[in-house]
Amino acid sequence: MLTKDVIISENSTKLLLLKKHQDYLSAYGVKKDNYEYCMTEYLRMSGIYWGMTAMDLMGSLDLLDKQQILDFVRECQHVCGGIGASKGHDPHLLYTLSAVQILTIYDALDVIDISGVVDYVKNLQQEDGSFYGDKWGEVDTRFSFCAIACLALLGRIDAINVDKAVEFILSCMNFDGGFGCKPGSETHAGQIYCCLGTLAITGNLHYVNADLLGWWLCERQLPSGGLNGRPEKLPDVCYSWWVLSSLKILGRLHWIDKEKLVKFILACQDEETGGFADRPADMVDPFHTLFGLAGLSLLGDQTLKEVNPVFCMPEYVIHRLGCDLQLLNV
Amino acid sequence: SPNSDEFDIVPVSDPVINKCPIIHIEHKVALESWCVKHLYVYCYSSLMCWRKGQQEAGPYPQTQSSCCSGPKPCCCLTLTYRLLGILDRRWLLLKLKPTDQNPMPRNVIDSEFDLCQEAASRYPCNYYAWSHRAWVVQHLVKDITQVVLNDLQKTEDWVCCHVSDHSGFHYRQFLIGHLCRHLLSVEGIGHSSVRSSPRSPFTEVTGVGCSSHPLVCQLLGKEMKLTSDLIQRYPGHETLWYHRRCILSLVAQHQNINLLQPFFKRELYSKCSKKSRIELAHELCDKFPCNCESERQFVLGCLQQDSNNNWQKYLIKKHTQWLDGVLGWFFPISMQ
Repeated sequence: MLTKDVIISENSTKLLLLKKHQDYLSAYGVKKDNYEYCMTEYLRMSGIYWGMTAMDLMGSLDLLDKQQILDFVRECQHVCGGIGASKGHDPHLLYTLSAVQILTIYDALDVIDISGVVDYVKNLQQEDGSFYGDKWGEVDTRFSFCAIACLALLGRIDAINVDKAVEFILSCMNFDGGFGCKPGSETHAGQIYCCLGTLAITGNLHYVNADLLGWWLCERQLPSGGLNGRPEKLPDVCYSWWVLSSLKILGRLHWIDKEKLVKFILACQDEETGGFADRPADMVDPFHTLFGLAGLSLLGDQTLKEVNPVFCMPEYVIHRLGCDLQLLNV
Repeated sequence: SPNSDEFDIVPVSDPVINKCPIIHIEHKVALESWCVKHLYVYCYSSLMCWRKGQQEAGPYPQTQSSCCSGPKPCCCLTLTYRLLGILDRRWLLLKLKPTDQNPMPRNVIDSEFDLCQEAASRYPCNYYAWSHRAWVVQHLVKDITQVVLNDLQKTEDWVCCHVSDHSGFHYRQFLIGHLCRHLLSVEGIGHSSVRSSPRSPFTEVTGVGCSSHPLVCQLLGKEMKLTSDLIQRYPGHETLWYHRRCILSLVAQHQNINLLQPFFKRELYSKCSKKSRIELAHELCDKFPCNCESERQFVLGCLQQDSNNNWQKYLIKKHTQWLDGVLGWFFPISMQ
C-alpha cells in the first residue's frame, strides 16, 4: 500500500468531549510570557477568532472576557484602517477579517472605525481584480476571500469592483475544477474554500463545474475516513472544514462517507488536555479545535450550534446580519 | 570577531553546567539550542519596545541580537538573503523590473529555479516553492518557448525520481499550458477566444483549442508516454493518475472535445441502457482518434500487471469513473 494515511486505533475516543474543549480554550493564553505564546503572537487576532467561534459553537461564549477582547481589537487598528495580528504588528487582510468576524459575533462593530476598514480593503484591490494581502504586494486568492468576506460582514461589498474580483478568482481555476492561490497554481482544498466562498457571497457559483469539483473534493477522503487537502498528503482535521464546507456550498455534502469522517475527527481529540490536533496523538491547538468542531457541526452534530459554511461563524450570527448567500443544491 | 564566517545552532537541550551558551571556535560561532527560546522572547520584546519608539540604545538593537546569526555585516546580509522568504524574493525581483529591452538575466532566473528545486527536494509537495517557480515563468521570462522547453527537460528527471510529488507534476502541467497559450498568442490563432472571460475560465487556464500546432502535439504525445511509463513502472501512485487526467484533458481539448459536455449530458446518459452507452462511447471514439480505445487497452494492461495491488486497482477504478464522467469515455471493466 502506498496510501499516505493514518490508522485509527480501536480504543480511540468516540465521544465529543465538550467540557474538556471548553476548559482547554478558556485556559489558552492565560500565561502570556512564555515562548509558545510569543511564537504565535504574529497570528493572535486569528487565534482569538478561532477560540471564540469554537466557544460559541459549544454554547460557552460567555466564558471569555468580552471587554478584554473588544479592547484588544480596538488597539490593533491602524490609522490606515487595517488591523494587525496584535498590538504593534503591521495591518494585514488576514487579521482584518478575523477582527471583523470577532466584532460581528459580539455584535460590536462600532468598536472600530468601520469606514477606515472599508477604505483599507478597497485600496488593496488591484487592476486585475486581485487583492494584495498588505502593502507588500503578495497576491493570493485567500486575500480575495478575506477582502470580500470582510466587506460582506460590513454590508459594504459595493466599495470594490466585484466583477473584476470574480474574474480574477475564475482565472485561478484549474482543469480539475479546483482553484489555486494564483493563476496557474496547483489546486488546493483551502484555496477552493476561499474561491467558492467568494463566489457564494457574490452570487457567481454558476461558473463552477460543481460535479467535477465535487468529485475532486470527495477523492480527498482516505481509507481512515480523514480528508487531505491535496493528492498524496496526510489527512488533517482542518480539511474537515475546508473540504467539507466546500462540498456544503456545492450542495454535495452527502457525497462523502460521514460516519468514517466523524470517527476520524473524534479520534483527533486529546482526552486529557482537551482540544483537537491535526491527526490522532499529535499536539492540540485552537486552530484545529475550531475546524474539528465546525466540521462536526456541518456533519450534523446536535450538541453544537449550526455553523455557516461560507464565513465559518455560527449560523445565527449570519442570520442576524441578514447576509445573503448563494448555495447550490443537487 | 569580525572574521566569523559560519553560524549554527547546536543541539544542547539542557544547560549542563552554568556557562555561557555561545560557542566560539576559530571563526565559527554557535548557540546552544536551549537558549534559543529565551533569546527569542527577549529579542521579540525588545523589537516591540523599539517599535513603540522607546528605543534608548539607538537603531535596531534587535538586529544585533538576532545577529547572533551574522557577526559581521556582510555575513549578516548574505545570511539574511539566504533566509529571505519567497514573498520577499518576489518583491525584490519585481523591483528589478524586467522589460522587453532589458530582460531578466538568465542566471537570475536559473538561480530561482535552482532554489525552488532545492526547496522541493527537502519538503515533498512544496506548494510555495513550485508556485514561486510558476510565478517566475509568468512574470520574469520573456523568451518563453526556449525557457519552458528547457525547464520541461530539467523537471522531467526530477519528477521521475519523485513520483508522489503532485506539486512537481502540477508544475509540468502549468508549463505545458503556459507554452500552449504563448504559441497561440504569438501566432494569433484564435487569440480573441483565448482571452480571459468569466464565461469560460477553463479556456484561459488550459489553452483550449490549441488547434494543431506541431509542437503542442509533440509535447502532449511525449507527456502521455511519460505518464504511461511511470504508471507501469511505479504502480500505486495517485499523483501519476492525476497527471494522466490532466494530459488527457489537454489532449481532448486539443481535439476539440467539449470537456464539460459529458457532465451536462449525464442525465441523458443515465437514461440510456448500458448497451447504448457503450455504443455512444464508441461513436465518440471514432470521432476522436485519441482515444477511448487506446485508454481502454492501457487500463486493461495495468489491471493485468497489478492484479495483486489493491490500491492500484482502486486508483484504476477511480480513473475509469473519471474518464466516463469527464470525457464521456465509457468502457466496462471487470475489477476481478
